[in-house]
Amino acid sequence: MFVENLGIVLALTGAVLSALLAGIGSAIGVSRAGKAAAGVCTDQPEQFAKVLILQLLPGTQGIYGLLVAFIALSRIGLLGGGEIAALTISEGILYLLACLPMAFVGYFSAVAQGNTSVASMAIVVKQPTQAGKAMIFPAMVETYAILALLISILVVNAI
Amino acid sequence: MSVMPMQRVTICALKKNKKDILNILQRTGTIQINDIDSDDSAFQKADTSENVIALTKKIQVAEQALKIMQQYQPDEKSMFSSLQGRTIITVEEYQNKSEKSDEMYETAERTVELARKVAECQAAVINPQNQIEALEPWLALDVPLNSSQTKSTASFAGSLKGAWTLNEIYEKLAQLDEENSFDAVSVEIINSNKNQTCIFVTCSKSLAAKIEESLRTLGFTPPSVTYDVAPKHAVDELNASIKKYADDKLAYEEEIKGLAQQKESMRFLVDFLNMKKDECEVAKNLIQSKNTFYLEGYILKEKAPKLAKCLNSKFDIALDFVDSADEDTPVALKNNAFVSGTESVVESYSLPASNEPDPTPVISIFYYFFFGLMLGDFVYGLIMFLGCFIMLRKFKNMEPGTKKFLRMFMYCSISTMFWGAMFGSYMGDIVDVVSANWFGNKVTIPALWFVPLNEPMRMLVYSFAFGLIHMFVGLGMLGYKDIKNKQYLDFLYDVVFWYALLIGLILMLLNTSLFQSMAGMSFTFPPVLMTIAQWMSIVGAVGIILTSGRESRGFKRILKGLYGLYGVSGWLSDVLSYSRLLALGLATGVIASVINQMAAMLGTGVIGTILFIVVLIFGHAVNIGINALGAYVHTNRLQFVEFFGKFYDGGGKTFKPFAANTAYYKFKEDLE
Repeated sequence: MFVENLGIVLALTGAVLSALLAGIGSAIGVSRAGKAAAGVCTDQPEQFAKVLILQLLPGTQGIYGLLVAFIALSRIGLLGGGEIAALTISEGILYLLACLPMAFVGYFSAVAQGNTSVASMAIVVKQPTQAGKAMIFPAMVETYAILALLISILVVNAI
Repeated sequence: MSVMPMQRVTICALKKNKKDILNILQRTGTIQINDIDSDDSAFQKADTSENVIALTKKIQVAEQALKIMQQYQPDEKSMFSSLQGRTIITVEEYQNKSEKSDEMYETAERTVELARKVAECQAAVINPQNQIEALEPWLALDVPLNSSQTKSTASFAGSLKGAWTLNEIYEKLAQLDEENSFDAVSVEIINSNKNQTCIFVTCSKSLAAKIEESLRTLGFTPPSVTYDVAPKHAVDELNASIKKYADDKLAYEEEIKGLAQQKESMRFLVDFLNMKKDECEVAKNLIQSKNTFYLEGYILKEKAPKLAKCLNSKFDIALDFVDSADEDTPVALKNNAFVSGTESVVESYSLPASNEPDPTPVISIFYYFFFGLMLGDFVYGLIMFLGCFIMLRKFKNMEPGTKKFLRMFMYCSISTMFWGAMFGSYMGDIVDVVSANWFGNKVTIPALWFVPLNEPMRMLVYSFAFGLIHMFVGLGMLGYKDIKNKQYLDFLYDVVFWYALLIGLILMLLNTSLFQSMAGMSFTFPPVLMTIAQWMSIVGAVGIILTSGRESRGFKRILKGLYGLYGVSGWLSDVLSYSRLLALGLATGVIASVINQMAAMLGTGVIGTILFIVVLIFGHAVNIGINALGAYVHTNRLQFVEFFGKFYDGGGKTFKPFAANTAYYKFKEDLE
């Protein structure tokens, strides 16, 4: 019984990992940036909008993770109440592998981006007119999350 | 549509007119005044630092007063109040008001003093309140707390820890009474609870010290507060003083509320003082002799004749204008409405140097294009468009920076609508979901082009193609710059060779089966074209190796040339970077679909429909916010890294005219 369902279990593990790890990473990143943002606002409340944007930047990985999980689930047939497709074990492994880039790159890039956002807040504090530049540095980190998202989506779609 | 031509201006005029001239310059904001070094014995710099310090103090007082007034009489702020812009004031109004600035300053000082007094009153009641609390247990006692005495008896008050009964106290005292002499003792319990027992002890004078010592071994402590009157009276006195402070505070607060009616003039005062301070700071930069002064600065060329006319008609003055375009010249941009929105993008990277072309027009087209691709939803675009459009129409007086920003988003939203229709995305798949669940008949608005989620590889190829066009235009900009500066050889080495190499390589790549199977396309180029492509890339590569190290000699030159050729890998990673166009576009659409699906799970009944709408509004609002932010940031990145990296140096200094840097009022005065 278990072996019969192993394919779907593996596929589901992949989808869950993608949402799980990327989500945890984003939560850590956003909370780090949020602490720094709160510190900025105690002294310069007028910078609220700028630091809020910086805080939000590491949050996207969680959304990407959700996205990959969602696409994987809908491909497996677990969403929308239709019939669940029977998956072979090797198909399950393929889904699992497809989700891994988003899961791992999502986690680490979100944490790293959170740190970069914290550093960028110093720019907002000391040079409020340069906030545009402050936003670019964390966005650089996000590039790799986007690449991981892309490859995960392409692979899931290709299975 | 470009960098504005600048002129260097020098002004020499009579000292008695200095203030008036500076005021006109400040109100019209036309000249950026330079700091002049003077070794001349006739011309000296005026030292205005004392005035600046005095004015800075005054500004602090006025700002503090304004803050206090706002606490007592908050502004009715709407969500969009920041869009309203500064109030317009005419020169006459300004002059009338500035005559009253001394009065205003007195009001400001009074307000600050009153606020200080209010704070003092608040602090002053804390001590009596604590004392009342300490006296509370003693209220039943009708003699003063500091022990009173008669001819032969002494009495004292104090508390024991914990709850005690009279008998327990007498018993303990009896146990401690070694000489059996405690006969004339009376203990009275004033108040008792589980934490402490307040007692009043009366005894013969000779025993007083001994008894007190005995009680101390039981944990007896004298009261923390002492008064010469009975506790009840003391509390009354304290309450009276608290009431007095409260009354005072109320009176002060009433006065502040009265003064807060003059909030507007306080705003004026803050602006007025700030302008004065700026004037003093600028006055440091000009030099003066006994009767004349002299200043140097930059002015926009188009404003120069007007300024000359205006000043010549009012004063005896010598003005001189010279064209200026060296690297010290500050830079100001001027573009039409469509382009100027993205000026802030260029500014946040770096302004073009004064001899460099303004990249904003090219940026703007790609900016709107890519932003739309990344957000890519018709309804989202429509919502953003309506929001920006209505705000732009409603708040005509908004500050130029805000206006440009909104205008940029307005054009971005038009592009978003366009791409939404091309990709068939209307709030994700809202039409499908509503029609299938509520009307039982699934309707899909067909995409005008194709649906990226169904054909991701096709979209990826187009993303790379858009990216290549973007970067080729960037390389073209480098060529334009070289030709404009008459560096024709640089144009050949840095632009033509690269075009040859890249186009040759791309043609060869397109012809491979690997690429065609990945992209799902199939075509073959004629062999002639392939030969041309091969030769193009060979000529380009050899040219780059030979020329990109041209400032070095010998062996080093070839090494540098090879390193230059290695730049191809940079182009490859740059192209891959455009895959974000696909990824972010998919993200918007898929998240929107998730929201729709979750909302539709609530059923199609009346309650389900209402909840459906609530979930939709909330979910899509969040989705627009997050994805518009993503599109904004990543479009910026594509411009800054991939596009600017090809040609743009920047490093221009911003033109910062000496102007009224006010927070609340602005002048309606233009040079006639």
